[in-house]
Amino acid sequence: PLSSHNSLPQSFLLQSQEQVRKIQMDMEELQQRLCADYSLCHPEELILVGQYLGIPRPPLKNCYSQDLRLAACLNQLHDGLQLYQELLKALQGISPELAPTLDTLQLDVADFTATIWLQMEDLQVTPKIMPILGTLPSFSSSFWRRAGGILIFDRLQAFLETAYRALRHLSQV
Amino acid sequence: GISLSASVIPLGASITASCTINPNCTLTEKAIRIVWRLDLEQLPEGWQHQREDGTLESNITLPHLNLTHAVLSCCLLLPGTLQVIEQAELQAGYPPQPPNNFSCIMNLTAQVLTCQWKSGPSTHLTTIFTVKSYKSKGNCQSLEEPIPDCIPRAGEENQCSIPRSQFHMYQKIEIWVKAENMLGEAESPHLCINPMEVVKLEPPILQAAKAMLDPGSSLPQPGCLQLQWKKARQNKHLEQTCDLRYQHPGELNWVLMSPFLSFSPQNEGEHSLCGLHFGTRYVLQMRCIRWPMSGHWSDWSPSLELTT
Repeated sequence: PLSSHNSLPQSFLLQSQEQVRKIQMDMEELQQRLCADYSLCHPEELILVGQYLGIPRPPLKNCYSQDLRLAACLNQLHDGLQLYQELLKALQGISPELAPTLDTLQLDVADFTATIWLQMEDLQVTPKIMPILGTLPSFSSSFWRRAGGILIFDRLQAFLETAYRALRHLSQV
Repeated sequence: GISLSASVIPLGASITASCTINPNCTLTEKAIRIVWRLDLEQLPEGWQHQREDGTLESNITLPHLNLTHAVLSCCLLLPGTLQVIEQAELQAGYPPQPPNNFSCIMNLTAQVLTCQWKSGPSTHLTTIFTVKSYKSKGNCQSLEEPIPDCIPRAGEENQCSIPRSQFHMYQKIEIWVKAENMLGEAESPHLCINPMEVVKLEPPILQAAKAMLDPGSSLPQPGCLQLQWKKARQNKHLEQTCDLRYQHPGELNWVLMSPFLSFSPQNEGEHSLCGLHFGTRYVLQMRCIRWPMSGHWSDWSPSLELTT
């Protein structure tokens, strides 16, 4: 098994930074539109809805500094991004105006997932078995979809910030 | 009917045609013989005979077809009249040469990878160009998943755009263009590219310029300006470096400042420009490129005209 001394190349970090920024830009645009068009501006107002919808929150504990291990962190990051791809897919139909930006966000997340996977292949730390994604929420109304969107974007922002901090740390090891 | 050795042949090559007219065609009774015509020119007599079943047959060989397009007619010579019985279209040309100057640019606004090329000399034949590509890795030693063929739209023969949903922007693809017609096919050299490494940015915006105040005396610093710039919205997430150029209106040569500035995450800002003459009219433009990671220069921004 890989020791934690292997670090990530600087080019990978630069590229990840660029991709994370793009994903964040996409989400900011969606959040601003949802706030302007539907007054859905604060995730904390949707805690009950979030509990009802049961939106899964992918773990990233292997990327926290105390227990930061390269292979385990990349693996968890990849799994989390795959789950977010599925969650974003479930938002299809959120609204005609948001659809193009949501499509772009999905493609940007898919690209970042591919970048992580390529790096895992380069480091030869790809998992033998792929995880089975948990049950996904189903958004049965436009409101659920929009509220779910606000919660997903909020959590994905936090997920990416933690991920990027870990990647930066792993490239300085 | 007419049967041909081939309906499309290399220009200057020979072609053999055979015309058969079956006996129950009433005209054959009064027919003198079969006559061949190439477009409107009557050809020397071909070899012809009548089979036992009464079928009239004539064969002809055109040793060198030097027309890129012609109509070969099989006619019956009757007393006082020539009747066209059947026609066949002949085409002649060349197999395609490998397309050259093949290059691709990633357009973040349209979210497409646009490839263009120069086709070789005219083949005189309908020639189809297809951009072919595969997802790949490393130096494209192995081809992974094929990407759907890109067929140029009508009117855009030497360009094709692949939607970004068909590839990963940060993963290598092997890509080339194939030219194909009835006489053969040829391929451009293959490129092994990561689409983001061929991204061409939208030009930045030079918003305004104002006098630069001398820190000590808060008076305008002669010969200096404070330029306000802004990244194009689509490129906000990219680190870039930018050039500035300025000229006196009507003059040809530009003064180039390279690099003029590098942005990391900011999207807009101000930057000083000195060394200008007082009370002089200038035209300024700016362009940017993804940096330190690779890409293509944007076009120059719209001009900002001002007088110092």
